[in-house]
Amino acid sequence: MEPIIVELKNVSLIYHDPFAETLAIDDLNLTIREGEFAAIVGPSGCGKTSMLNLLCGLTRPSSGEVLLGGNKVTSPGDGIGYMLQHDHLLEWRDVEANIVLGLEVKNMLNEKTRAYALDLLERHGLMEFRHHYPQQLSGGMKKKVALIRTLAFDPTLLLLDEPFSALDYQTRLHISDEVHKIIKQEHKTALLVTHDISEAISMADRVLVFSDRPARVKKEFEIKLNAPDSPIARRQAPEFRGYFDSIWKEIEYREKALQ
Amino acid sequence: MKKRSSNKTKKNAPATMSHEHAVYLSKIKRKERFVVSMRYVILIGFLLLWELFARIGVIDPFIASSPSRVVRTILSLYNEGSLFTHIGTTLYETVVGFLLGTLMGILLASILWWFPTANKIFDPYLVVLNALPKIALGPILIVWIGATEASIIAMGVLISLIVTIMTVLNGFNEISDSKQKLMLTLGASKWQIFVKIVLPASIPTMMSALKLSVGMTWVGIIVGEYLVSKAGLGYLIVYGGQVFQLDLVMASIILLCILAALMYYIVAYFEKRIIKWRKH
Repeated sequence: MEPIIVELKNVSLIYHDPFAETLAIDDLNLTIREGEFAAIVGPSGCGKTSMLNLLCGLTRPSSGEVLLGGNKVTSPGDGIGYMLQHDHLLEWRDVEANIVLGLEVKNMLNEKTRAYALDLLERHGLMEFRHHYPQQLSGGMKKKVALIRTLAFDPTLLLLDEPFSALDYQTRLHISDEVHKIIKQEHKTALLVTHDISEAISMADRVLVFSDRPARVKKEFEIKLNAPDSPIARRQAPEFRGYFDSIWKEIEYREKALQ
Repeated sequence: MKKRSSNKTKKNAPATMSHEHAVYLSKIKRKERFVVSMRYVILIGFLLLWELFARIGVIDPFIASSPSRVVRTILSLYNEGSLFTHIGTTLYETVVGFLLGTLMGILLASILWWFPTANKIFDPYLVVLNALPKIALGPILIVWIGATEASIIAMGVLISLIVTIMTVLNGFNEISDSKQKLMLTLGASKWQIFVKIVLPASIPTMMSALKLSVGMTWVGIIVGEYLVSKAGLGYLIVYGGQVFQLDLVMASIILLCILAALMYYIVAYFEKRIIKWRKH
């Protein structure tokens, strides 16, 4: 088995606001192994983003441990690339200046790392837009640039927080295919958080269904599809529908329970 | 590389255009030309009527002056050698006041952004200071600083400072949290967030703050000159009023118009240059 990259051990998180305290995550255990593409689906507001913030070191758990490569995560480090819902490319920087932002912030920008970032651009077909500004790019291209910005500092783990939800459906299918391809080609470990069940099944090797708040792993699905390794092709696989139904039922259950 | 991208945008425009498109374009051009020419018509018409009415006695040139008398006054100021002293004095005070007000405003806004608690504490004070007619502080300035040029500049700074702080701070606080979150996930320090995100993203707001504060500084400087001065356009206006030389008052006001407009356009020009990424 591949080595473990990320481990959450009995993690809980209490979230405070002026009106109340909320138990966002309760006794969460989770392991992600190298090279894996895992996805988390769950009802909205179930604490998925809180968990990503924990993994990234933006927040600390109230109890339990978050380990990245065996080390405790205490602050945002170089090991994690976090791709947010919106690309947030900086309008005043061209593509090249945008993709080196992470390197710049981490004081890692030198000839070698810049060359690596540009090589990523080249390999993923964006080199000719190197000096374009974000306003000149389509939504899908911006996503790819944002992904390359995240990959440029060579993180061990990629966190994808509903990265396609702001795109229209056509672009969404196309870009999830491309992003998947890039992540596989760069041999990255990725954790995708989404509310779109099809997206999770089509992209991930393993789908974790989260319970309603407080978040726990309710059920895990090993996804084995008889199809080429590309999200669009995987959607055509005969087993796809079965996975969809089982996951759907797991999430739907909560809504019945609520009523 | 830059050239290549501009070639590309040109490619999007059709090489040959339909008759309808040509008509559409000429319509836009005609409208534009109309707007610009109307501006000149109003200006020239106003000057001509002013001159005409003054000559045929509809208005009294002694209290309303006339364009030709204004020109004559400016020429005589020039011949006396005092024209550029007055213009120079006012311009110097305004530029210094504007730069000081802007720099201090941006600096103070940055400090308040950096310390959100301080921002909260000082908020009501800022609101009161903003509402206060700063002209009321004139006598205090004269007592504290003295009846000198420094008092005049201080007046200009006072009037523009609070507006600059408030506008720039608003701009800083409008930077979306998720852009800051992006920086935090990269492990950025507060300083890096400020320098790499907050400052560059607020340049458009800062530029509109500058356009505002240019006007405010002029108000402060002229008021300052009303209170204490031995030279400058504000001084000429007050002096002209006291000795009932309305030609001098009008001439100074017109010079002031030209200078204020010039300074505004200079700031606007810099705005265009600096925000070049906006055009992309």
